[in-house]
Parts: sequence; structure tokens; C-alpha cells
Amino acid sequence: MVFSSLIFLFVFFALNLAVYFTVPKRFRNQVLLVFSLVFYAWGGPKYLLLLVGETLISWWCGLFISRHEERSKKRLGIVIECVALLGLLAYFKYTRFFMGNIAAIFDAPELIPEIFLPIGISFYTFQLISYVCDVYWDKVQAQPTFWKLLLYSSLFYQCIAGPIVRYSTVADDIDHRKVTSLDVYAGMRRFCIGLAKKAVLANSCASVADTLLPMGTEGLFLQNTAGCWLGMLFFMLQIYLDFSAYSDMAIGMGRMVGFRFLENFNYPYQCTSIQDFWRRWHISLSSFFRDYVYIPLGGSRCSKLKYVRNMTVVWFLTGLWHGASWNYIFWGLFFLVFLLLEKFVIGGFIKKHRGVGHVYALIVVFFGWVLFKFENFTELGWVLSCMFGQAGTGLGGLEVQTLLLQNLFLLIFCIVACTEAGKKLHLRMGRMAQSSPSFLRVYGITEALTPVLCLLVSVVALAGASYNPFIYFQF
Amino acid sequence: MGPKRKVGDAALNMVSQIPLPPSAYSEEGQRGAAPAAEKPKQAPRKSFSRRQVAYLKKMHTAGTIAFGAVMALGCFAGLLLFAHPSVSALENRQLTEFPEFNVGAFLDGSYLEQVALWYSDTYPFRDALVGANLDLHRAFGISPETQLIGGNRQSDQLPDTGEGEPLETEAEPEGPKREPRDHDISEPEVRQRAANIENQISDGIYVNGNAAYTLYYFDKGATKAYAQVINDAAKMLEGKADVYSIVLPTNGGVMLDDSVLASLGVPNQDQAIDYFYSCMDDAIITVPTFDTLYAHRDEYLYFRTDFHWTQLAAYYVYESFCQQKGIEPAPYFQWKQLSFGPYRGEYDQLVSNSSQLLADEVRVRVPAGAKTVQYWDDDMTLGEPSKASVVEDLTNAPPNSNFYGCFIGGNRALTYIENPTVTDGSSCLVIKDSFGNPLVSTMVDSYQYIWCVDFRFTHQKMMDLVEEHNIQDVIFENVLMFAGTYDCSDLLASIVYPNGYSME
Repeated sequence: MVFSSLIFLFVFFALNLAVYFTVPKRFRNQVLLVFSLVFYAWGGPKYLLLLVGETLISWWCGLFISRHEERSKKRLGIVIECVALLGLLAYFKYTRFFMGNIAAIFDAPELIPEIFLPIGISFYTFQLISYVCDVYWDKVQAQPTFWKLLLYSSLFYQCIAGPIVRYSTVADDIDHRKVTSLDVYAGMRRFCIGLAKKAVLANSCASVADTLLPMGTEGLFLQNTAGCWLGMLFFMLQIYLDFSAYSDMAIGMGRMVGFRFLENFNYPYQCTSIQDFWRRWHISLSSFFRDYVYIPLGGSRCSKLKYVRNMTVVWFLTGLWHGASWNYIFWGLFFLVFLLLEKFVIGGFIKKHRGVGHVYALIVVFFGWVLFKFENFTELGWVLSCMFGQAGTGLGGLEVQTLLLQNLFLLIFCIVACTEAGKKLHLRMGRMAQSSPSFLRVYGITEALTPVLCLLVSVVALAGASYNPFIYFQF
Repeated sequence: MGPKRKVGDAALNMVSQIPLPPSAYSEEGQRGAAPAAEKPKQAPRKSFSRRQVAYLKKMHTAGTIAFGAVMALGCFAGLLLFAHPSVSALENRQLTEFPEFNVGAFLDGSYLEQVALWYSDTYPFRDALVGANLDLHRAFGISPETQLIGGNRQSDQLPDTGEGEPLETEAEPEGPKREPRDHDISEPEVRQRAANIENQISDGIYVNGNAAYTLYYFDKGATKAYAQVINDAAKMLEGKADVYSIVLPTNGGVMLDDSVLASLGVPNQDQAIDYFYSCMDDAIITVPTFDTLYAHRDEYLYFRTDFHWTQLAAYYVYESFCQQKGIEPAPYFQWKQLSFGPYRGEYDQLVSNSSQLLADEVRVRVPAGAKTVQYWDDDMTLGEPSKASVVEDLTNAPPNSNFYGCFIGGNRALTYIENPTVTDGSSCLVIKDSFGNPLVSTMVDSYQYIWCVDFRFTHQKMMDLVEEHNIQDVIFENVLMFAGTYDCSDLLASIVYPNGYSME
């Protein structure tokens, strides 16, 4: 089940809210847990065992670490946790990838087993690892109650598409969260905006991108230069709007019941360098790698060579986390190259010339998305050559022109939606409302109507369209 | 102090000390916001007064209540099982059916995914919501007068058949393997195949001025597969029934000039139909269609807002059929005439600026002989048939109804028409798509018994029908864009071959 579906909205979430706010406060965690398990089981009840099993291992490891003072025993706990969880992640997510590579080199094995990738495994595995690491580092206390840790790992708001919530963020909220009417409103508003962002903007961008760049079909190889550029531009918008919309919805739903999750995106396309981009994009993932891989490896307080090694490990893993395919690894390493370039060569220049830095960063990110989109290297190579007019399919055509004109306002709106303009407008309206009664009235009405209008337009888009891709299956 | 007061005070405190509106502040105040958004850098300039906060709180509460109301209404509407539609008139398709429970499918998640799909696909007021969504998408941009929708396909090179040249015999590269299917073809598969075929409509739509046109992309392998099924049908029916093939051009093929078609990279449909026919055995009686329609291209042969043809165009092809069969066509122009409209067909959903397309009028003539049809949507159990008119009088139907559905009850799995004014025992089986509906409505006075199956929805077997009803003529009718697909030949194969997929 995905958030952007009518059954989630009008059956699952509606019932969840109704039951949650009806039962006495002491049962609310249990209600959330039951709904979370049902939500996860929707994609295949048998994979629920994996989620529960991983949580059980992490719960035990957390308690084991907390109950022992000896460093060696604590280490044993964390080793068990990492071997078990990363082993399971490697089995489910990377076995086919590794075997495929071995088969390509050695012509064996002949048969590569089909292994289903349990949805959200990368997210909850990282969450649980972060929990045990934090217990190991005494950043949090081990959770003595298993079902409460299960609530943390399975919480349906973030279980399948992030953000990667740290246990420290919600540890207190699990037992002592408080909800004000303002929280309910702000959470509801955030959820509705996220839903509209996904159902209306991201899905529409996806439709245009996939029309122009139909992967896995001969149609891709018929596309012309303008079509490839436009298709990639829409994909660039889609991936941000889609991913940040899921984070908005997760943060919004959490806030409605008193959980305060970390922000996961901070207008990444406003970045002025690649380093800046990664401070703004999927913040929960980059901070995970920073805290649990980069810093333990030595971070930047070491020799140049070690720094490069640490960065290489982090960006190799970042790429690999996004999918079991070489293109994701190259995508990670592609960013590594530019991060090192910024660190050692052009960092000072782009800091002084922010405009140039912005354009440079957007170009790099754009080509990064080309790498990210195509797992098939024939397709990737072809699209890149087509973008530079080397594919022999021409520079433009009636179809591309038609699609551009038909989606021109959408394109402009989506570009604006990727910036802080909306937020700034909202703040400005708020300031104006403070000094003028008529503005206050307009502002108040806008505040009341925005969420419900977003919800209604999302329902129209969800009921009326069959195009609703879920792009996190490979994560 | 009661709890309500406390909340109010908290909210007041929160917003009255800062210059920002409460909701905006609360979002910025989310924990862990990135450094740039963590806190306002400047000191507050001004804050909301206590009265302003009270007003905003009221508006926030109103917003929350409105959200709750929409959620509650949406939930309630979804619970009204009787209000879940099974057919979308706007999209001209059967909607997803509620899946049958199966433990394996439940455990792997596919059952519940199917339930979610059913819920979404059949949500009450679907057609209204689809219409609203189309309006929303129309606001996404500007629609140029000339546009190409889809068009991301390549047409195979059309072989030069030449007059009377034998069918090419060179070895073909092996096409995609198709799963053999038997009589009990599963419903989801039939629906999927039918949906694939319907998708051909949007593979290439050219819009120019006030009309839209469907393009056709030639696929040599699929063409041969289609001809093969018809050839095999003729072999199986040898000595039992005559086999006719009617392959129809799309509106683009007839109405657009060759130069336009060439610039769009699509073939001349006259040659394409010739190639279809050239692949068929001599035992099959092929009905000329392209030249027949082209000779009348200044008449109202195709709709502007729909990819279908008019009954008038169908009549001209029926005349051509009669010529091949050696019978006199029915006096079409003496039949009673009706007119329905305004009609806006399927292009209305597919073309973003469909308002530039001039609304159509569905002009029909009502046959003098046969008046009623019986049909079955579920032709597996063949229960009590439903009834409709050969040409339904939709004069009083609301504007923009599906007026094209007036012919022989629409697209049905199995249809039967008996003409009481013909008593010679003549009979035919028409294996057709939706273009066949007006065609059959023009030919009802030429036969005493007509059986029709829509190849996308039927579970019938050709030989069973022929033997059971003593059928004399078997007529295969398909429009080019459907005929030239493997899905079409697959579905035809499931009707023609007793084992569902081959002569063996």
C-alpha cells in the first residue's frame, strides 16, 4: 500500500485516525503498532516476519550491549547486529546483483535465483542499525520493551519510504508525546501538501518523463535530442517532488499524533555546490552515512589519502544503497568525484561565485540523474549520446513540442515548487496579516482551505489517473 | 484551568512572541531542520496579537474539521459497495473486478494489491473524477492546434507486395514468445490483453484543427500472426463455412494526406491492408475497404472526437462486402434516420485541448427488418440474455452520452440477432471489435441469424458456434491498429483454435 492511493487515504488512514483519537491515550501506541503491522503486511504478510525478526535481533543486541560493561562484549553485540542485519539486507537486495556479476565473468552459475526484495528493507535495516549503534555509543538507552522497538521500526509513516528516523528522535515521543491542536493542524496541512505534491505534481512529471523516455522499449531509441533533455528535466523534478512528498506525508502524519521527525529535504535544487546539495538532499541518509560510516572511519581529520578512502567508501555505499545495479554505484562515485574536486580544487571559487556554483551544481545533479535513471548501460549510453545530438534521431519533433507546450505551466509550477518561494510567500502573507485585518481574514481563509483543497485535488488526481508509480522498490 | 485553556495559552505563547504565523513557525520549528531553516536569524519585528491568534486558531480548527469531514465522507463513499461502478462509460472499459481470495496470493501480497486496485479503479463517482482530472491536466499547459500524442513508435518497413505477388516466404526472426492459453483463459489476462489493444489508440494520435486522427504503425510479425490465425480458421472451416476478412483503415489512413503520414513516419494504410490480405490464403474472401472509404472521404466517415467510424462508413464497407458475397445490399438510405449529439468520443480524454475538437453528431439509420438483439456479458455461464435494440434510439439521452454505444447493444462478449423478415436460414458469425458494431447494424437485413463475438471479451470457440448454429459465413472484422498487434492475434487464436493457441 502506498500513501498516494485511495485505499490508504479513505480506508487505512481514515480508520487509523478515527481509532487513534478515539481510544484512551494509554492504548494509542498499541493502535499505531497494529496499524503499522497491517500496513507493512499489505505488501505480503510473509515479509512481516523479516521486519519482526530484524527488530527482535536489534532489541536483543541493544539489551545485550546495555547490560554489559566490557567493551569486548559490547562490540560482540554490535557485530551480531551488523552481521545479521547487513547479511539479510545483502541476501535480499544484493544476491542477484553479485551472482549476476559473477555469472558475467565466469559463466557460472547458470541459474540465478529469484529473490523478492521486501519493501522498505533498506530503510528499516538502517533505522535498527542506528538504534543499536546509538545504544553502543550510549547516545540512547536500550528499549526494554520489544513491541515499542517494533513500533519504532515498523511505524507506517516512515517504514517503506523514509525518512530514516533515528531512535533518539522518537524515543521520548514513544512514551511521552503530546499533541496540541496546532500539531494536528500543522501535521494535517503538511500531509495534504505532500499528498498533492505526489499525486498531482510528481505523478504528472513522471508521466511526461516516461512518455519521453520509455525505458525498456524500442521507443526510447526513437527519441530525439530535445525529447531526451526534456524527459530528463521532468525526471529530475519528479524524483525530488516524489521523494520529498513522501517525507512531507510521513512528517505530517507523525506530527498529527505527536511524533516530530527530522526534516529530510531542504530545497536541494537551490544548492550552490554538490556538498551543499548533499546537505539538503535525503538528509536522513547522508547523516546516517556521516555518523555511522564516515566519522567512525576517521572523517576528515586524517591524512588526505585516508580522507579520500573514507569518502570513497561512503559514496560507494551511498550508491549501492539506492539499488543493486552498477549505475547506482557509478552515481555515488560520480558525486564523489565532484565532492573531491570541490574539496581540493574549486571549493573556494564556487563559494565566492554562488551563482556559478548554483548552475554548476544543477548541471552535475542533472547528469547524476541520467546515471541514476538507467540501469541498462545500452540505454544510458544511447540517451547520453542523444542528448548531445549524436544519436541520429534529430534535434526535435512534433511529439516533444506538443508535450512541452501541454505541460508548460506544470513545468514552471514544479520548478517553483522546488524552491523556497512557496514558503516565503506563506511567511510574507503571515506578516501582512499581522498588520491588516483584511489580510488577516484572507490569510485565515487560506490557512483553513489550503489543506482541504490539496486533499480534494489529490483525490481527483488519484481516482482519475492510472499513473501512480512507486519509485522506492529498489531502495 | 481546564485543558482547553492550556492548549490555547500554549498556542498563544508560541505565536505571540514571534513575527511568523503559527503554522509557519511550527513547520520551521520541526526538529532537525537543516541549518538554513533551523531558526529565524532576525529578531522578531512584530507578533500576532491575542485576538489575531484566536482568529487563526479558529481557522486552523475549521481547516482540521474540513479535512476530517472530507476523510469521513471519502471513507463512507468507499463503503457503499453498490456505488462502485463496474464499467466506465467515459473510458469505455470494464473496471477491475474484486479479486477471488487465494491463500498464495494473500501471502505474497498480490491479493491485497488487487483489492487496492479494485478500490481505486471502482471508487464511486469515478467518471466524474476522471473528467475532473482531465480538466486539471488541461490546465497544465497550452495546446497547439497541431499536435502529436504518443508517436514514440517505429513502423516496420512495409514490404512491397505488388499485385498478385506471392506471400513472402523468407524466414522471420523469432518474435517474442507467447504463452499458450486454453479455453479457460483467465479473466485478468483477457482484460490485460484487451487493455493493451485499447492502448493502441493512444500510441499515435495526430491532432490538426478541429479533428484528431489515430495513426497506425506497421508490425510485420504481428501482421503475419494475424493472417496465420485467419488462414487456419479457413482451413478448419473448409466445407463448413465461408471465411471473410475485413481489415479496416483508421481515420488517419483515410483522412490524412500521404505527405502528412510520411512526415509522421507512418505507412500508407492502403498498402498495409493490401499486405494483410496478401498474407491470407485464397480461400479467404477479402473485402476491399480502403479504396471504398477513400472514394467517400469528403463524407462524414469518421468522428472528429473519436477514433471510431460512422454508420455511413460502415455501410460503404457493407456494400463492398455484399459485392464480394454476391448479394444485394439492404436499402440503407431508405431506412429511418436518427441523429444524436453532441457527441464527444474517446479523443476527449486523450487530447489535452479537446475543446478545439469540434463535437460530433452520431447519425444513424434504423434497419427495417431486425430490431432487437440479445446479448451476454458473461458468456461462460450463458444465463438469461439481456436485450437491446439493433440501433438504440438515444434521442433523449443527455448530451455527450456514449452515443456510439447505440449499435447492437455495444461491446458484448456474445450477441445474437434474429431477423424475422428473412426466412432463408442464412447465418453468419462476426468476430469483431468495436468497429464491427455499426457494421453489423447495417448487415442485419442480409441474414436471418447473426451471432457476434467481441474478440476482446468472449470465451466462445469459433468451431462450437459454427457447428451448433449451422453458421454459413464467418466474418473477421478488425481495424488495422488492433489487427496489427500480437495481442489481437493471441485473442483471436483463443477463439479460433480448440486448444486455444495452435492447429495441433
